[in-house]
Amino acid sequence: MWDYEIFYRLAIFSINDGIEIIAIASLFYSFSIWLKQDQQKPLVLYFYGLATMMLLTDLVNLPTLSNSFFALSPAIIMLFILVHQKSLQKNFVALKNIQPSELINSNWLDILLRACLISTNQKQKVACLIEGKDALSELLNSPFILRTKIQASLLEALLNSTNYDQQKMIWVSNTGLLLSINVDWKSLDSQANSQSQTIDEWQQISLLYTAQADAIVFRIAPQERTFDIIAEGKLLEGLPIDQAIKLIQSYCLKKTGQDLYDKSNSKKSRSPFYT
Amino acid sequence: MINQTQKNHAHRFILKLAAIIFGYFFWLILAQKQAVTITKNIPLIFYLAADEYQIEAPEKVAVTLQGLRHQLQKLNFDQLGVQIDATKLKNLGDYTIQILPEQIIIPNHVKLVSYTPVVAKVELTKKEATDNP
Repeated sequence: MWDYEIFYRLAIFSINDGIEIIAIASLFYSFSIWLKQDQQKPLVLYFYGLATMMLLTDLVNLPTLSNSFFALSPAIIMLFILVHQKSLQKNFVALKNIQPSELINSNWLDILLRACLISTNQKQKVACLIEGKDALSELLNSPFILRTKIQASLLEALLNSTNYDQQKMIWVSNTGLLLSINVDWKSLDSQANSQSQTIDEWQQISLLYTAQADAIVFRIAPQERTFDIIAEGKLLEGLPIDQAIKLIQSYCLKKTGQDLYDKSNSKKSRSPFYT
Repeated sequence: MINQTQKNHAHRFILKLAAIIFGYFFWLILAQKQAVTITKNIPLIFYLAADEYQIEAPEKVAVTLQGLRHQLQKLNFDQLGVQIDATKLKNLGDYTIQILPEQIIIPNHVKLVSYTPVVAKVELTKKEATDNP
């Protein structure tokens, strides 16, 4: 079976050799898939660049360099693990869980979205942060805490207030509490410097935090009347209103685990942000 | 969305391909100094045979060789063979000849571990006349 010239030319002399190659290739593949999850840095490219250098040093017979590379390879792999976005997030974001409380208001999301859309009609920018079970208080700059039931009249009054800052966010919990307005993320200098320049800073920080926390952030562009939604470390831009509302409802439903909106949605176990 | 999915599939395919290529080369670097044993069938060749005789013997001898992986990789199997002096086969009939390790032609850097058969049955027959002049 193994008596094939091609395998001999490749120095593969037995099925055990094939198993070893598959095992090493699987490790390479798993590691590169994990590295690919880092949206900020092209770690896969660095990894394969370094691997190519290691191969070339051996190929062109540079034994000192080649041996050094191989000896240092565990440290190099550790370095990749350390600079990976997920690891950095774990170091920076120390999340606490909120004890699930009773649902204050079953149609809080409808009230919130309606208020946001009314505000958008008045050419106001509206951004909203919906907190899940992961506490975000330590990650946010909040001028005050309201912690009150979401009500249409209250939201209307707050959004029409001159104190309302359109560049900041409305902070609500997925149990129907309005926690605060005019909140923004605490900046992470070490992260912000390394971010891609193609997206805004609020999007960058939101991507970073939502990758670790079960929060969802959305912003409505008043002129285009489209939603930018960020959850689970993913950004969906320019969504039409109906699609965005369904998505937010579906996400909140999944996170609260209660059938508030559409019973058919509850059958979906997969995240709406799954790609 | 479809484009994104196709893109993801393409990325994953490229990563799989890269993993296989790099996995193979890294394995080769790590394994090239390993001593490997392989078994290969090599031809049995009779030299200095009389033209009027025909020799019937096993065509191949299975030899087990040991060497470093990179040495075995470069081995040209077409140049290997068991060479037996046919001048001793003078009369028609059956012979039992012992194959000696010295008769097995292999490069110096490769070690001969074993071979089979050790004894070969050889039959010397008269060559049938051909129509061609």
